Amino acid sequence: MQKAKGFKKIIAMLIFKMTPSCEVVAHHISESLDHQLSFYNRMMVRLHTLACVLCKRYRQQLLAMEKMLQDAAHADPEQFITEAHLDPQVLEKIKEEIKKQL
Amino acid sequence: MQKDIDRMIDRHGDYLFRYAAFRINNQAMAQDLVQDTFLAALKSAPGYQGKSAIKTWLTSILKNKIIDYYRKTARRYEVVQSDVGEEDNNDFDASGRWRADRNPADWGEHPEQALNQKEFMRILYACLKLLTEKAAGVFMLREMEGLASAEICDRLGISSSNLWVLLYRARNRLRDCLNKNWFEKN
Repeated sequence: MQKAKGFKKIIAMLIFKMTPSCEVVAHHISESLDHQLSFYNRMMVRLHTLACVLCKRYRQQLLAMEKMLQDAAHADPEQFITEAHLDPQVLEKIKEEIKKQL
Repeated sequence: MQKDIDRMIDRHGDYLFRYAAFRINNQAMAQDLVQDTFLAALKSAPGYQGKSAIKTWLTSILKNKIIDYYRKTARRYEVVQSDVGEEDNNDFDASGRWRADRNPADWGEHPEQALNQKEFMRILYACLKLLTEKAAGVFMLREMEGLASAEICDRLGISSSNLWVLLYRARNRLRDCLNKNWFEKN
């Protein structure tokens, strides 16, 4: 048990040595949502997130936010933006403006 | 005729305003875009074939108006080299490791389920309003309108590296805000 733990620790240390820092990996993770990373960078991200629980979490958070925003984009904003109403005066102004321009 | 137009504005004006207000951080501009949308719709009304609901048709016109708005202000999106860095490095120490007080927290197995709660949606909306205008622009087009990176760069006339920096910042700011205002409390 103790040996296995020690072995895991050594592997994690090796991975940290071989892969870029968390800061660089975080940039790559964000970019991976927008375009395909090079094969090398993809491997670096995969390897790094095997050993780094924080970068793995960061990736999960970005993926969750992406899903949330896609779903929110399709939701009717009336359900949650209750404070954003068009002022009746603005509505009248729009009507007047349209009357003038048509 | 005028009565029909007034009725259409009364019926859809509020919805369109909310749609625009959710996507741009400028209420006055959101109002102008709603007005422009009705004008464009009425001018192109003869071309409307009734294949989609009026609300859907108006929304698609507004969506293009929003993209146009971001294109017109695109010059402001260029990331000045000197300001790259300070905002990006907050989460990391000198060696590039996560700072202990900025570690990504565990959001649980299905954080997206928070969307089912109205209170979360209000927080999401409030957090989106905290994004800087330039970050909000590209972020909305990418994440909410689902435009591909190449299309955003093409429409806004910005380089892909600028786009990625802006998206990275926007994601981190939103992540931080959601974490503080929702996930840490729930």
